[in-house]
Amino acid sequence: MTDNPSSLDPTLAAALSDGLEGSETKDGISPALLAAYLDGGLEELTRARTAHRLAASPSDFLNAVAAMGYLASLSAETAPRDLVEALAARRPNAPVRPLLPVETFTLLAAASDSGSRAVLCRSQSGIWTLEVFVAPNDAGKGYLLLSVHPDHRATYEGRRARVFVTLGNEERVLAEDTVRDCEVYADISLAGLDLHSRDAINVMFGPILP
Amino acid sequence: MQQDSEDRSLVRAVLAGEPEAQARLMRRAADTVWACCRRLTGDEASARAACENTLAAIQADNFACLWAFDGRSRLDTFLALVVRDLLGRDVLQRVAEDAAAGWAAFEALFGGDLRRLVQRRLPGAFWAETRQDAYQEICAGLLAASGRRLSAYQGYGSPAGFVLHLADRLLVDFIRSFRARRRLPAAIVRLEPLDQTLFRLVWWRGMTAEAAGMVLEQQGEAASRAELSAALARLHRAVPADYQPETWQMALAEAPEIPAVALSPEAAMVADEENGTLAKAAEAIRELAPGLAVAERLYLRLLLTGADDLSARDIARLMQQPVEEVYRLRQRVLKKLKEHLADHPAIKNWLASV
Repeated sequence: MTDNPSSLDPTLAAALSDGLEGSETKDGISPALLAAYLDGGLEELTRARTAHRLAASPSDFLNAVAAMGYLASLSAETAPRDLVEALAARRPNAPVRPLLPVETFTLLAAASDSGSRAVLCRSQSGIWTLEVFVAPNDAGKGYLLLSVHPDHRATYEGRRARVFVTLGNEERVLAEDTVRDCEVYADISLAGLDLHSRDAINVMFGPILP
Repeated sequence: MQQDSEDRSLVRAVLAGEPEAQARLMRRAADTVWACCRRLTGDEASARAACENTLAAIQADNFACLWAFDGRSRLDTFLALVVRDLLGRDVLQRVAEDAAAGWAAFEALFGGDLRRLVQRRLPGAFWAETRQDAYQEICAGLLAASGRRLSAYQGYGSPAGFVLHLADRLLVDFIRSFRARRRLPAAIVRLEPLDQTLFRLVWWRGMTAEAAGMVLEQQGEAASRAELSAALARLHRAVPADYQPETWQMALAEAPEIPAVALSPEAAMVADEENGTLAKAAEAIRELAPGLAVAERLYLRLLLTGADDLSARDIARLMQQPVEEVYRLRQRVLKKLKEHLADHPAIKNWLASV
């Protein structure tokens, strides 16, 4: 028994790889998510979801393996000071579109008035609606739907939205995705959250990333 | 954890437009960015230019690229991966504009990753020369038609993931061509299965007779010393004096086509049977995979892509599992493979040897 899963004849491995071809997502795993995954900083549900994507997507998988090698190969270096000081003194150029402020929705039980037990909470803040649903067979799991009024589609479409709660000194990210078709939809973990009386959900909108 | 919290506060202040924080961030990021650029470019001058451009890109649009940092990773890890993405996008853009002019930068950035990919799929000293051919084959495929394949990158997802997936498909096609062009000589096809297995091990895999005997024993096809000697003697009589395993030391582009009509009926039958069983094995994997747990599926992908250069600790990091759990996972995956694919003789042999 060797330490590594090797020794499979290359022609056989190549043929068997065909049986594993999976699905690719348009955006792939972002550098931020991959960094958090490799550093062990993700909570269980997000980590499992990321592992699922690595197992399903050959390009995400190959990227992650290469990224590990790359990170391990980086050595401690000191950048040329003249270069650093010149750039540190330079003011960044103006944003193409102004950054939007953090928008906070406070989701309490009173915010829900749907009459449906599946809807854990619903909150409307101006043009935004945020709903959290409970999974039918698992009270620890839920679904989050963030939607913007279609009249404001041009402003928000393509922006990144980060949905998080602050627990003590830590931020717990429930969902992070690009607004598409006026919506962000994500599976979330409800474990350890008290959305009825304690934990407010914050939504932060960012720029359109390349 | 303290550092994570400080990093997050620093990034928040940068995004809020505080000049002092922005200057501090630039100094904080510079060494990491420099280390990345040194690692990813060919020489000091290129590293300096790349570092300057990358730090400027990090500053762009009020440090927009930092928005994605949320403190779940170390800032250095995040920055290193962002830099890799930025340089990757830049290189792919250059190749799209002029493949020939952009190729040197492309190879400086991705050459190491491509070579490691080849190393994983073709590990060991035996494949050393084939690896050279495989690398050339990948480069030729990526550069074909003025870099048409690379130009297809539309800016979504990781540039490295895009390039490596393309390269892996080219590599798999190259490896498949071994089987397509490596046929048992007609005289060997007429011999017993033990003789054929011994032929593959000695003539194709370059093993000594002793090593081949050990492999046969591991595979449950143990033969006595006398039987082995007799089989070897039969092979020496049957193998044509000028026999060369055609595929291993030539680039695909230079390899002669072997038309189907050149195969004897016996050889064609063997080839069809081999291709058929491989297709069945791939189908069995296709049926098996959805029923596996996520960690098992991820491990299976690792198994089939090759992981010779990864330590148990690396694999554990990739799987986000403790090392001891990775060993257990390995046992589970191998067991399931045995249950589902043991009918395939090549897999049976392999499973017996690991």
